[in-house]
Amino acid sequence: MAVSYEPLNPNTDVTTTRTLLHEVIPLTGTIVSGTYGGDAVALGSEGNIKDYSHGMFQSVYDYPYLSSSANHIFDVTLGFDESSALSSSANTQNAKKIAIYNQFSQVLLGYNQTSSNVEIFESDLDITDDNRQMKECLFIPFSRLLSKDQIKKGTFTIELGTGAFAGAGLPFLERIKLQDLSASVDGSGIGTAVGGEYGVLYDTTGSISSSNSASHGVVFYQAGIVVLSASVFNQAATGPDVFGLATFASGTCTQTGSTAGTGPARNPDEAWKLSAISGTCNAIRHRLYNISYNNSTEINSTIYFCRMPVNKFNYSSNPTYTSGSKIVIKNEQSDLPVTYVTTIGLYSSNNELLATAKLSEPLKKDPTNEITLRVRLDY
Amino acid sequence: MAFLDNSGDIILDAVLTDVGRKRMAAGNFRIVKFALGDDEIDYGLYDKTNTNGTAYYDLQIMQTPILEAFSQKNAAINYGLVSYARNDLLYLPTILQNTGSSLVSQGAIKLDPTYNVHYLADNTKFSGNDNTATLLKADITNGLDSILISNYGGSPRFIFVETGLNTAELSSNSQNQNSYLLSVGLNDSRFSVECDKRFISAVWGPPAGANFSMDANNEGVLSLSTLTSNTTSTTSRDLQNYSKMFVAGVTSRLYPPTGNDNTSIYSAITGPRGAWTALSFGINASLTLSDYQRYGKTAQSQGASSATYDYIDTIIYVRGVSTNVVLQLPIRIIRAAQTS
Repeated sequence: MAVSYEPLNPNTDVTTTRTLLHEVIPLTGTIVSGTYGGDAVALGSEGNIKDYSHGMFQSVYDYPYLSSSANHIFDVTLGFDESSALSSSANTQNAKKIAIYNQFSQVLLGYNQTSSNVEIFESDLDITDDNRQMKECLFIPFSRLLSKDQIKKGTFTIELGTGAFAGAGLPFLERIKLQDLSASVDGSGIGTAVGGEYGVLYDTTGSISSSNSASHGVVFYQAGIVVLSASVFNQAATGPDVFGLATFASGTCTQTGSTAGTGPARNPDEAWKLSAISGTCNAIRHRLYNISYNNSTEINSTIYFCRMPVNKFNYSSNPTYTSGSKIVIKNEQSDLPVTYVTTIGLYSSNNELLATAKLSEPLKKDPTNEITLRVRLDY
Repeated sequence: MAFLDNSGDIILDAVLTDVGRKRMAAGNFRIVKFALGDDEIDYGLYDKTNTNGTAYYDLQIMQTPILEAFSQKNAAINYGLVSYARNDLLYLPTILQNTGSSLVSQGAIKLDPTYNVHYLADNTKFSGNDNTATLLKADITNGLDSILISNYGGSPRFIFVETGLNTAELSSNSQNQNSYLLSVGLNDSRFSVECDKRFISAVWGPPAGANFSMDANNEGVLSLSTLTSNTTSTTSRDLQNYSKMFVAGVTSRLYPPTGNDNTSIYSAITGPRGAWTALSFGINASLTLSDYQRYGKTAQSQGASSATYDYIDTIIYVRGVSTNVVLQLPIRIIRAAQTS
């Protein structure tokens, strides 16, 4: 029920700003495969891992997902292009794996107008040259809760264990660390596709050569999706489509569904072909040592400069302001009136209160001072 | 809402209100002005006699903890800071209800001491041959002196409200009225009346020519034979479900006669008087039994008789348009108990 309004001049009292806010997002492997698992819990049965009856992807939460406190942090899935040497109708979930690949390719790369087919992922910055193609891929789409508006360029790191599968800590005795080394926030070192900007993930233990032989995947910044070649798990061979890690997945990961089971140990080639998506996702999580990146949130703000001139807002209609109609803070007529501001109301032209702001402590206002309060509304 | 952390730098906690979010969704969110509030402040804590010096006068006020911002429009700024051109004002007007016996004898009503409400009777409702007011006057302490009749302007009963400087330090003569009120814009030519539009559909106020003055016998006389109805309303910007209507404010001519100042017998204001108004209300004709059941009570006794009533309690806010002084009037909308 305010009565004294002060107009805001749109030219001098209102301004807009755009700021980018960054947060560090560290995802340790223990959350992904250890914290809610351990020896007593079979891989794939952890409380924070959610499998679906359709079996096309697996969701990772930061807490057992049946709890309302749980936050979805990312998904894991995999697939291959139908032109991959691995593609065969005899494979487990062959159609679903192709569908997954096509879906990500369609969303992130679009169609190849020449072949009327989806583009093939490549671990370089030129999709059209058909070099460094990644026909068998692992996909990690991050929740918007974590990636916010986009992943900050040049900050993404993923570290994977490439050691033997079985035994405590054994997968991480050997590791490969991938990073978008060439990408920069100034726009250099990145590619652009229909799914937004992307950077190449290089093996930081190698070097960035002109042949890009150390690249193993890409990260799409705005989409918040990491695409890794299955060859990342092959440290002995060269080239993206060669699999050689003989014990990439243990028997517990080779079941055809989400239920625990046993079977033969498998290399990545076999896992991509013969294991269910969820089983291979379990093996991948078992090898996820660390993920780290900075997210970016774009904040558009309108700042209102609420200026209180010397001769305004010096009296109050607060009922305690007077006692017997006499202003309680005055002894005589010549004393200056004083008020204490606690609240700012921002109004539309027809006096509708659109926003309010509260000061953390009262602000003294009298005719000897002029105060400007800066109220920022973020969108 | 929790308190804001006031241990460090001053911070500003801003939120959109419900209306703001609605406007944003509709694409017409545009802020063009601001106002300031001080609802949390108790100016009574200002210690002008603190022996440690002026720096200590407002120490308690400055330590007042402030709540986080509310998103509801009702709770944002209930009073607000005001701007007057002069810095030398020592007095600000007060608003009071006049329930003096001389005014009551001329039609003013007063609070019922049992339930602390003013009754607003729907006399279109009967029990047997008796309308609501006839039944009610036998049940309550003040009889008709606490009862308004809904939508009735002839030989009126009304709530009499006055503004002015309620202080014995200043005489209530016309010179002071002019110096302290009229010349500084602290006189109300209109009063806004905010009512819950679900229950109240009309406000009645004084017509042109109404007057309150001392007569030749040095007695205060209210010249008010009728009230006029106003049903034109606008939606309240501050209170949910409320609408705002305006009634006339009449400048008081109740000046002390030469010699003995006996005007305080007739007025609730001791010092210079500003404006007055007389109020009555019209009950929304569409109120049904289910409304009384939902918002009030039904088949209730109000006194010793066996008569029962349906009623709804509501608050009406009367505000001086120029002075911004506010009076809250508790009203009990009442009717003889009905079955529909």
